[in-house]
Amino acid sequence: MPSKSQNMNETDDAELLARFLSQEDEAAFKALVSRHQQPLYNFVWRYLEQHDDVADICQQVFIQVFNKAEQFRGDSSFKTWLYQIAVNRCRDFHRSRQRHPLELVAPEDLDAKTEDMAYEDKHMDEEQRILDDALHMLPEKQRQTLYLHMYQECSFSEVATIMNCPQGTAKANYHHAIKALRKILNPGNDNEL
Amino acid sequence: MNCEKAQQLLIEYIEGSLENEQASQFLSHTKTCDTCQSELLAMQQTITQATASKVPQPDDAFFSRFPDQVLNGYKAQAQVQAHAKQSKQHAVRKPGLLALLQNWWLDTSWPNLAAQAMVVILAIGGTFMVVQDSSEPSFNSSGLYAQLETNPALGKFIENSHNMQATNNFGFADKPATVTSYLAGRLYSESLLMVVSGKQTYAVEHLTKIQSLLGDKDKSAITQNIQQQITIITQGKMSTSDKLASLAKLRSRLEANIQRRGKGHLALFRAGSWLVDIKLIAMAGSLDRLKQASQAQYIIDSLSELRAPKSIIKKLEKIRLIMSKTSISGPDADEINTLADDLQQLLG
Repeated sequence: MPSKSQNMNETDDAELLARFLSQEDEAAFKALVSRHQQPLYNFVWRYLEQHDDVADICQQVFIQVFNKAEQFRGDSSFKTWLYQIAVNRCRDFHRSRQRHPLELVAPEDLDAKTEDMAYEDKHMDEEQRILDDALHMLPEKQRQTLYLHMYQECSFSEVATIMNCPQGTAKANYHHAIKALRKILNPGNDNEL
Repeated sequence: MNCEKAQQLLIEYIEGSLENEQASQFLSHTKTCDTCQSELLAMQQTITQATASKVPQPDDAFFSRFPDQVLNGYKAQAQVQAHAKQSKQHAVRKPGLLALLQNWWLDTSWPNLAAQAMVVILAIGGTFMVVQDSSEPSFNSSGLYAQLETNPALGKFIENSHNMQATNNFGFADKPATVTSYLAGRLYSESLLMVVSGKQTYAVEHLTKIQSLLGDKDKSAITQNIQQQITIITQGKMSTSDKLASLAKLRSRLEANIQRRGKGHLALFRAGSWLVDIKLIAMAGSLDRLKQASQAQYIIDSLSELRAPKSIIKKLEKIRLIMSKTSISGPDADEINTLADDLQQLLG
């Protein structure tokens, strides 16, 4: 007889969400979070360019997803819906940070900040840093498209739904993103048509 | 196939999503067109480079505890939202109820509180919550202090607190009203500690500071209420638990007064008081009493509405996450103590 966790692993996202809504099944809630947490963490980390707010943002995204769960009609996949909320949340956070670029770090936060930087240094080699810098130089929509398609393995149809644009635009954004990335990473070898 | 069409199909070719016929047309073109072929190779190389990007992962335990954290956060928020909804429903009745509270306050004969002190504390706590706002989390400091175990660390805290009051008037005159609301809350909870510890003189000093913060006229109701409280403490006829009971009544009076300044002021008063409360509970090692996630959420929401600096909200979030745990450990309590300290420095 399959165990409850096996059952959860085999149950699709929409069914888990329905179980949580109809029966307040906390195991279904946690199974959904568990299934999507790591890809979401990676997406938010890439988007925000640092790690110290990532856990908070991921939690806020999941909570918003469950708060709005009754609005989920299943027209698109749970994953698409999750990333729609994640893109909006990251964009808002990014913009609010840009509005307050001179935010002071309290003296007691400085140690934590230094630890964060050491953490990032330790985990990133030079090649990785160059690549990340190049990704962050891309225009916002191209960057979002690239993150969603390349790293989150969203199809162009899913990217289009998440970014609320035609599929052709999603494809074009991705194409432009790769070309722009190429120019940034290999500035001397550009032989554009 | 011409170069323009080949460019359009480049990505789909690399991803293998072209139909067979289109794919072979594309290949035929690149075999005869050096430009498109080098473009194809360059794009493939860039995609390979970009695919290598890695995200530094948090420690192993992070993902195993994260679903529980999200669930606890979700529940805490749902609770706060339910409270807010009820709060709106109660709002219409509030002025009448507040008036009732004031009458009840003025009509009560103080010595009658001597009997059944603990029951009175709870009854006062309960009545206060019903009258003030039945939907908000409980901020029953007196109840907490009545159960506070003695601890050597508390003695040091008391002396530090007293020295700070004696040497620093917090620059009351220069502080905006919002800060004085926060400080009044802090002083209030510290005065409870002083009473519990038998430091009556210190308690009176704290209450006098609150008086100077809130009493705009010598004969204002709040000034008189605080003066009554000072008399009760200095007379020495009442037991400690009776004094705590009367301080619980003072709290409801202070909150009613501060609430007239605005909802944000009330939240700041509660934040000031609550930070002292949780700090002392953490120091006393009363781990179960640190499960105050809904109170933490209330403070976070209120201070967020007041656009508190991000560093403050982040520390409060950390406290809330710890308080949401099923089991709070000694190191967790130490962390709450440290975070509360940091917040006091940032806010004060």
